[in-house]
Amino acid sequence: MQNLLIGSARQVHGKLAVALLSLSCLLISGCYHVRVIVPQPDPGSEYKKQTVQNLAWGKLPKKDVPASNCLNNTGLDEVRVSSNLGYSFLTVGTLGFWSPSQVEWRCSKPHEPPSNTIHKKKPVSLVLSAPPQGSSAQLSGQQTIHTLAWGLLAKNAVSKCADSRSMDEVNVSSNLGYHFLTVATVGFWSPTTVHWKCSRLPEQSIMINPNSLNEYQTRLDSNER
Amino acid sequence: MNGDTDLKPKLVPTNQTSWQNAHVTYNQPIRQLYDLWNPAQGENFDRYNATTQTLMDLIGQAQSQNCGLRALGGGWSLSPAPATDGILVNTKLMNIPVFPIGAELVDPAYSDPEREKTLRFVQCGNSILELHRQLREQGRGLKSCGASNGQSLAGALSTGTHGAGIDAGSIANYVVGLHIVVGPSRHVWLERASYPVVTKDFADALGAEWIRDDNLFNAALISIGGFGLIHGLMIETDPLFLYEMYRKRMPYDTAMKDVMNTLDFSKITLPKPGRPYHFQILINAYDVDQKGVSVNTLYRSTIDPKDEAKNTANGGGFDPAVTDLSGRTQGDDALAVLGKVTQTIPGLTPATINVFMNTEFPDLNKPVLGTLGEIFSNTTTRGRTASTSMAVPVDYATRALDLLLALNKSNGPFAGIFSQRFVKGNPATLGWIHYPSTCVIELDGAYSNDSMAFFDLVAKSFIDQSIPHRFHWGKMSKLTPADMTTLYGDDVKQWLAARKQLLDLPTRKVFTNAFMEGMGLSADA
Repeated sequence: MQNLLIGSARQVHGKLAVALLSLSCLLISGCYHVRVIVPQPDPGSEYKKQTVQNLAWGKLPKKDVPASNCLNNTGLDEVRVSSNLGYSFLTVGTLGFWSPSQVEWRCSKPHEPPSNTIHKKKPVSLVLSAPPQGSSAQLSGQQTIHTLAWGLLAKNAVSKCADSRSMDEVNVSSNLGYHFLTVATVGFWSPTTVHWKCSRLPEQSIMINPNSLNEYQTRLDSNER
Repeated sequence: MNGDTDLKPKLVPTNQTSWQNAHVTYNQPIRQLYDLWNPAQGENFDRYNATTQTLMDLIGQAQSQNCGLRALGGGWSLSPAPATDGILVNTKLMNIPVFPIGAELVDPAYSDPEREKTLRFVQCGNSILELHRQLREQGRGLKSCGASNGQSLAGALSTGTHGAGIDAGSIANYVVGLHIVVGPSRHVWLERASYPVVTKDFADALGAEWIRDDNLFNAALISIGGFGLIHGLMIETDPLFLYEMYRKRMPYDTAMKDVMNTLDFSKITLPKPGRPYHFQILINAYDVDQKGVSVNTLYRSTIDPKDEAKNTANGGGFDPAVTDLSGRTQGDDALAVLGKVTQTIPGLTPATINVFMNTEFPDLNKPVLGTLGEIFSNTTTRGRTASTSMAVPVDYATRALDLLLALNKSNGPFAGIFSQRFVKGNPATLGWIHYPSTCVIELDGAYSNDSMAFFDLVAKSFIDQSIPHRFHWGKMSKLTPADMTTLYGDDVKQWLAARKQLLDLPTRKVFTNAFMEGMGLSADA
């Protein structure tokens, strides 16, 4: 019996060691992903990815990066921003001077007018009616997302873009406090704030803008062309 | 804005040199990924026809560059069926809304009593979600669909995507015509001779060659991407219906086994009398002996879709079909991490799966009411998953399940759940829902080496136990040419012969990828 108990204790210790090892791996490799998605995600493109280096407390870079793959007045279907514990350490270690993150986005599908019936004789081509004009007020929203357990538990921010089914602009922001929290909890808790604006109808073209506002925001916004 | 440019499709290189599928099961180096946009303006059918020319040009480009070409839909396949090291063309932007068909274009011999009301012509990149939405606006609905809605119609068809329509079947059961670009200067309208749908005038409107041939159609129906670029599909639709969904645990006893092996529902008491529209069993190997299996049934409701709201309001008797995408769920890496953890500490697997099953598939207190599009609604794929699936004749359903449970005890634990969906078969030559009444067995779980090893063991055991089966083209499998001969027999030869008839050698080379070559479906086979 004693041998059995010793054997069991060894097994338990072994499993604990393996569990700790696994946890360590998680801490090293864990990523926090924050998604902002439209209510009915239906992307028209594959992910396009860019690593954004916010420098000088978000003052640099100044230049917008256009989401040039979203053509034909399409908007954004999904924006995913990824960070990790290493990025947070870097941010805290430089007192916020250097705050990198990775941005990925997918365009929405084109909003097409309904099709006419196909007939034997080709119908006279019709000039497309313009899509209905959106109201002057652009729908927008904001949410703080708390990614927990080293990114194993996530939550989407679902924009309320029911009519346009796409987004024009997404701001994803963090701040030194958030990064301190991430570092202090060894990555267990990583908050991020997202703000979105739905596309107007007709939609505008999209710009990716890593230029931060006051802190460490990654901004994906539109720019009428 | 240049008017001339607006009447032309836009083929935009993304300059991506690698591509990853939605379930992150592989990363494929590619030469180029193009976004193909329909012309920005013009009448929809003219825009559609203009895009056909660009697809032919793409095949010409692939031939001149001596590389592969593949159409990319939703990218949901876990298998490398849509992969190529050559050119990928994103078809998701080819989503011109469904076209109704004029009565004069419907063949007099077409047998559906609703005739043109039933038919819709669909451009390939329309997603299942878009089709649900568009058809609902027209008072119509899909006859069946998979469990989620992110796939493109052409992609879902080409790998044999299915639901659990025991009499409705899968997507391949209601696609009745195909517009396929089969070369740099050739595109065809293909339908069955035994099931004529539209007249030659329809093919003329497309500018396509008109072919009626059962063998060619059945071979191209589930093509694994090997029959050229499917640009358009004719589908048969249903009037819009609501469905009532029920889910409850029931004992896995002799009566249940009889039902699973015969689909004779008189032997058990289901939530409603009669034959369900949809029949699915979910099995948690770690509590099946105590709690039984979770039985998921859908019935076509007699409630008018216009009355849906009042039936799902408080006290209405039904819950609405709501998908909460904003709820907390697993993170992107969670399933891969879970795979690593359960592989390291297998003892955690039963508890983990119990929690997952109870969270994701609890018994329903009230039935859910909704259209197919509402019930099988939005899902966001997250991270690396492991999934394999095979079809067996329905009378092998419990024999196959009992084998899985035994293998899990002897060689597990598998960090996932088993399920069985029962589907009417289809006549596609390489269709894997092949048996008149088919039981689709699914193993879905965390990605790990142990999961992969378990899938291999299951595949081997099915052959060893002489259980007839075919694998889902969109899920994980490792089929060799010998396996193909064993499992698909002469259908392989028929499929290859049809492919030779429809595609010349240079085009077959373009549409042959490593996945096909690994199974012996090479260009010169």
